[in-house]
Amino acid sequence: MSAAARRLAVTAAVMTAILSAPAHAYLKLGAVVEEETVALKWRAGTISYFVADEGVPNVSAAEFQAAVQRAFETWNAVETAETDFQFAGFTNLQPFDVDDVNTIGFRERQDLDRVLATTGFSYLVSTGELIEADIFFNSRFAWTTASAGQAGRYDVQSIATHEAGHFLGLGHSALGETVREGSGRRVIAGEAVMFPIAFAAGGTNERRLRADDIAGVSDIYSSSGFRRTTGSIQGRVSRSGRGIFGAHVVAFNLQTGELVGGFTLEDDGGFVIAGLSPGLHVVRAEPLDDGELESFFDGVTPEDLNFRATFHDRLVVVPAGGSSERIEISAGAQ
Amino acid sequence: MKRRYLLAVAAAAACLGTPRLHATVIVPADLPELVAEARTIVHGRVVAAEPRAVPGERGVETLLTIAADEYLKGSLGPRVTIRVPGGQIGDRRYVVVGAPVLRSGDDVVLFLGGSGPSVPWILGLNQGVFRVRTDARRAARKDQFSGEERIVEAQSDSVRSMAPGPAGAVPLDVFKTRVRRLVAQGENR
Repeated sequence: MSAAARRLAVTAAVMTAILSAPAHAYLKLGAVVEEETVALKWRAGTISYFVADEGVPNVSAAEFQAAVQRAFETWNAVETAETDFQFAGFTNLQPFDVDDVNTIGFRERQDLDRVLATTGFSYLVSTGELIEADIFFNSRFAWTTASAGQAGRYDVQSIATHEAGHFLGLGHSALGETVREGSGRRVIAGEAVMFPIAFAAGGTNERRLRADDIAGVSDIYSSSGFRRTTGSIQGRVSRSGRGIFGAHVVAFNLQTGELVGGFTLEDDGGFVIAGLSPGLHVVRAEPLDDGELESFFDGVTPEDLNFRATFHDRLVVVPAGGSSERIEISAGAQ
Repeated sequence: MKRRYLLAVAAAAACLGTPRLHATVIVPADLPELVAEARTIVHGRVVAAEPRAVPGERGVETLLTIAADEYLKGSLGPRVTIRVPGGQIGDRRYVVVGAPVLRSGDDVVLFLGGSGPSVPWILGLNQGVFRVRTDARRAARKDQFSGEERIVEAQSDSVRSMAPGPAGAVPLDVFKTRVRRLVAQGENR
């Protein structure tokens, strides 16, 4: 499919899309509105959510609600973002009903029998405004809200923290490492709550936001100081002079140790990674090789996944409130 | 300069044992499991998509009509209608993260679940979707290959890894042969 045809196909989908400006690390959910991509986001200052008044074995409705609330408070606590999610009460409504009520709860659905949890949301096509979001937890699985986790059970708070990221309008991050084992993958490292593959049941690692998550939510719901105190890296990834679309680009801050990732989203391999702490960064481009491509891209597929992970040959200076000089990364074949 | 839009939906991802994909946290199914669980396996093309409010509920779903080329398991006639969560009604679009996004013209092999007279659904959201695409390299050099230039790509990595080859793709005829063999094995048990 030609680039033009692919773009048309994607645009025609009018679904979640990555924003075009001003920058992006992580992935943001968006929609095409009058030929422009806009972030899917809540417009109201305070977003209320209800919790279905129904527990499951080992987790009461009250325990579930408390864990979910802790997950939302984790996002609310990000200083560079202005989000305010408030628990509004228990409800008899069900998640995934389209009723203008944000509902989070356990439910069993035959067609979602292999789904542990997922988020559904509604938005206005004409504006990109989020108007409802629900989080579905599958009651068929074993859950826990124990503070240290529980072997063999999924941690409500960890899963809720990830789902709350989608609730806010974030897509997936590629900052994680997996290894193939048999017919699947095992996660060996995760540097973003929004990495699409979770650690093992029983763990609680994903209750804590990482730099990439914070950059993402701050980009959507920026506080007044966010743009002033952070900077960005811009550049291009190519192989044999041809831009690589869909390359994963990672910026590592030498002073803070923070990792923030982004993607080349331009036809010519161009990328921008925003929300970076000022300072010296090491930048690496790599093919997406962890997780499922369609966890990140829908409607388009990166053409070139067969290049070697390549570091930019110099350290990159990120200024506060500005952007680095444009860098070029020439990747070789694997 | 063109800017491409990347859709950030979560799809069924690969996980083995304890790791799980979240956003849409999928219990991984390998190909034999999908074959065993599917009531129907159909290769066909999407010819229509019609969003609707779910009767008797408050949800939104999209009914997809598939023009069947071939059934690998079961049969639901020359055209089969299936449902996937989400869709657009008026100015409002409802999205379930992880639900497959299929459009008219898509060439797919679908593993369908269902019970009784209900409208079938795709197993494991994206896990039951295998897209059929033309292998551009093979098509361009077709005179050098006698094999099938259409390839099957799993949407789920756990299944994709069952199909060795570039990007996990496998020739369509090889894939169908494998599925038929698994169906036959299940019938002989």
